[in-house]
Amino acid sequence: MSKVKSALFLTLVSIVLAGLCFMCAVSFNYGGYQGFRSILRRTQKDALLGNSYSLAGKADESGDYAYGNETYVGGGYTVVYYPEGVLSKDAYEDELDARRAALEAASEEEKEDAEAAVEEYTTGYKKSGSLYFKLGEYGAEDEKDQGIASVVDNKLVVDGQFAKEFDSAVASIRNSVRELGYENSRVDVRDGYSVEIFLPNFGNTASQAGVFNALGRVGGFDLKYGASEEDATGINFDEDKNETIHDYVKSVYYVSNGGTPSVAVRFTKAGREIVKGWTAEASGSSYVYFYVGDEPMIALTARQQIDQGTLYISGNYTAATAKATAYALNNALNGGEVSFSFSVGEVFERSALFGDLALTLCYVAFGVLALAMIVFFFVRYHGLGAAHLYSFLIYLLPMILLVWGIPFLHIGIETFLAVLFGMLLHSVSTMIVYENAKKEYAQGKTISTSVKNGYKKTFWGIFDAHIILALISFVTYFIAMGQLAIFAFTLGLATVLSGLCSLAVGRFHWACLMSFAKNKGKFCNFKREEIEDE
Amino acid sequence: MNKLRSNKLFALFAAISSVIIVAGIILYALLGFNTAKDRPAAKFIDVSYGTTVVNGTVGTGEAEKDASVYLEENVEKILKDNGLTYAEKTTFENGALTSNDLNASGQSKTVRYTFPSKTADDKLEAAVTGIEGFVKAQAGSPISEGVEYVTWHASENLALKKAAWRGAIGIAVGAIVALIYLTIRFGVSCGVAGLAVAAHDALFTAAFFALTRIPVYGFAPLLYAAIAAFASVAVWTVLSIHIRKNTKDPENAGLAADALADKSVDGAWKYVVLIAAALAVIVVVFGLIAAAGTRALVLPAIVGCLLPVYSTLLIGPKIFVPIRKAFDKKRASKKGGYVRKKKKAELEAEE
Repeated sequence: MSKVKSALFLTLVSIVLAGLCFMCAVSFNYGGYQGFRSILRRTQKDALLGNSYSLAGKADESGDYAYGNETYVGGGYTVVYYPEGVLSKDAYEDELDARRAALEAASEEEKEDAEAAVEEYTTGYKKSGSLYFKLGEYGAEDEKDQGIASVVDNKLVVDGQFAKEFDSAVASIRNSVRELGYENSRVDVRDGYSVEIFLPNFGNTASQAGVFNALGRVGGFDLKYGASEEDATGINFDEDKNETIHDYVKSVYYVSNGGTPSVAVRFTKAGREIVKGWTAEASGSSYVYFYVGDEPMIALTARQQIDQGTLYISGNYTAATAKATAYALNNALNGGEVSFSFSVGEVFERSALFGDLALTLCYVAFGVLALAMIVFFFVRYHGLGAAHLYSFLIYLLPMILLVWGIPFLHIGIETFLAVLFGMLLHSVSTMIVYENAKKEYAQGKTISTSVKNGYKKTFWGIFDAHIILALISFVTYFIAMGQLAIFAFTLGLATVLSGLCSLAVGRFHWACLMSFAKNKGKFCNFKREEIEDE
Repeated sequence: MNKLRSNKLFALFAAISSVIIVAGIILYALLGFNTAKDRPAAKFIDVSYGTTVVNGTVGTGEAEKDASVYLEENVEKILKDNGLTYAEKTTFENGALTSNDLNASGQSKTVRYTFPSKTADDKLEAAVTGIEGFVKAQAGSPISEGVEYVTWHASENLALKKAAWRGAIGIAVGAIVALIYLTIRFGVSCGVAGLAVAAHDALFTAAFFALTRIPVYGFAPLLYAAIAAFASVAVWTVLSIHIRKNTKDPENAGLAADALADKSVDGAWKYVVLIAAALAVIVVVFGLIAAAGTRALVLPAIVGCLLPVYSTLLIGPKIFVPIRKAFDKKRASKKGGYVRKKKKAELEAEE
């Protein structure tokens, strides 16, 4: 390649790489309240890794960036849910204190009722672990007799039907959380009969609230129509035909409808007819209600007749809230019967498990390893180190863009490891090529023949190693789940990029850089073998 | 190196690997991995307090200290008095969930003490009573006003098993697919031996963590097994490349399978060690620089990085040799048959 062409090409590549480096790593403010967030900052982070940003960080609800505000990434929220009939110690004691206070403040006439209220409360609940269980018959018609447990031989026995329904509700919540796919989210059962959900912090608290509220919704699915909740009427199931809601609604799922997050409800033929009949004279004053348990989860305004096999409901959903709503509705449709609802108890915000500096330290570790690799190449191969540096940046920057752009990827330990292993693969492949070329040169061949032979001899070996690793990575990704799937997919991407950079990009840069070298052997730190004359 | 590759030592290595893998599988079936880092089951004591404690102080003069510090010191003393040692202490910010927002309260906090799941309930109950008694005894101080509640609870998470099962299948299928490619490119003997080596490394790594009971995150043993399998496939490919190169080399015509394996190992071992060592360096440097939590996740991966050296150089070639011999024999007999048929045809033509 001629010097001019090489200079032009290297300048162009350097400008593009510098621009990409800037976009990937640098954040700044402008105009006081506006800011540019780097690709690395925009990329989703694992909740285990913590870090605070002090520049151009925090987007408020309108999407603007407030100058000087700190953004904390990592950690997340924990919300505890209690089923009807189960109280936390805090809630029980608050109510008891309130009743006792009412008793103290009660006049003579009110005293008897106030005493009864305290008595009813203290005898109506039984403590087990840290929870208080309402004593009574599960599903009793009279509200006074309703409860979820009884005392047998001074021991608390939770109603079997309630226990079964609780397990079904927990399974349904687990399904929804799994479907949401947030890394490190978890669902724990507390003291047997309350549920604790942890979801990583995803920035938008309104959206996060919507997700938590949807996750706590359990119960049966129902479809109603009317001008208000009170007036709404449901489907008249034909008991002779053993009809259920499944004869009218097939499924509920999330869909991004032209970029708008939506909840899709798929009706059966009979379901479509029912809704069509209900909304025949709709003019915007009536609603189609989609119930989970006793409360509607969606109230869809019927402005005209609805005659659709699949109804797409967009509303004001974010992708996260639309997903959570769709999964809660679908779980209600397909899950076991649950007759109780959950109430929200304690809410905690927690910082990242790996520490507040974990992300910064990961970047530092990555930087140290990358720097060590670059220094090694410059020391061993002199000018060729620059060729490797170019191909390394061409490997790394697209990797960052891919991790940012692919929705299910995020920056986490597994991603760091996969990118580092890819970096190693790229460096070892390049080194094998350089070593082969070095041997050829030592035997007396010209530098261009040495390069050609170096690549020729190693091409298929490097190609095979990359194909095999990419295969194992992508296949593992398709079957595994969670962090392992993310590691495998990122490693697959890293392998593909490493292969391209080692076999194509590196060679091209070598050719470009060589055109500037007067002594090509010295430029690459290649030496001829010394033959001793006898 | 040659001494290590003797048949006698191979029997010993195979025995060691088998014992570790079988014992690991049994222990995993009985106890699973030690996923203590993920706390699949644990008990907790929560002490929640508001701004009065966060902003308040107790004592006067030199004895003055933050109310929250004083509270936590005393809580920890009460825990100790009740024979409780916590595994972790975490501070949360209390929050509130409404229909359209999720907010941290600002300064109200909950300090959570985590205990192993086997901790006796009555000890926890006694500690909670003790803490409540201490709070009541602080009449007039920010502590008695500001402590919102003290409670204990047990938590259980059962969701890890499905991920583990699917992850294991994922690694196995991935390794099989990759080794089908290896078989096509380098022959059946390399493919089968490579599959054996990858399976050995993945199982050995998982068994190692089941046996040593090193506390790990729930997903971590599978990640380490995957790293071992991936590293193993990578270094076995390097050895396979040398085997193919030596097979094609006219100088090695007629070389027996075991001599071919030895020669290939002699050529490849430096690369195998280099790759494994570089992987180990990455893991160690990353682990040492990173935060403590990250270190606990990253450093054990070194097992999966180094194991392929042992399996690729000392076990794999010994599996490769008999398979290769069988194929050489088959090929020779086919060739013999072909020669005999050719001679017969020539004789018939002469007649």
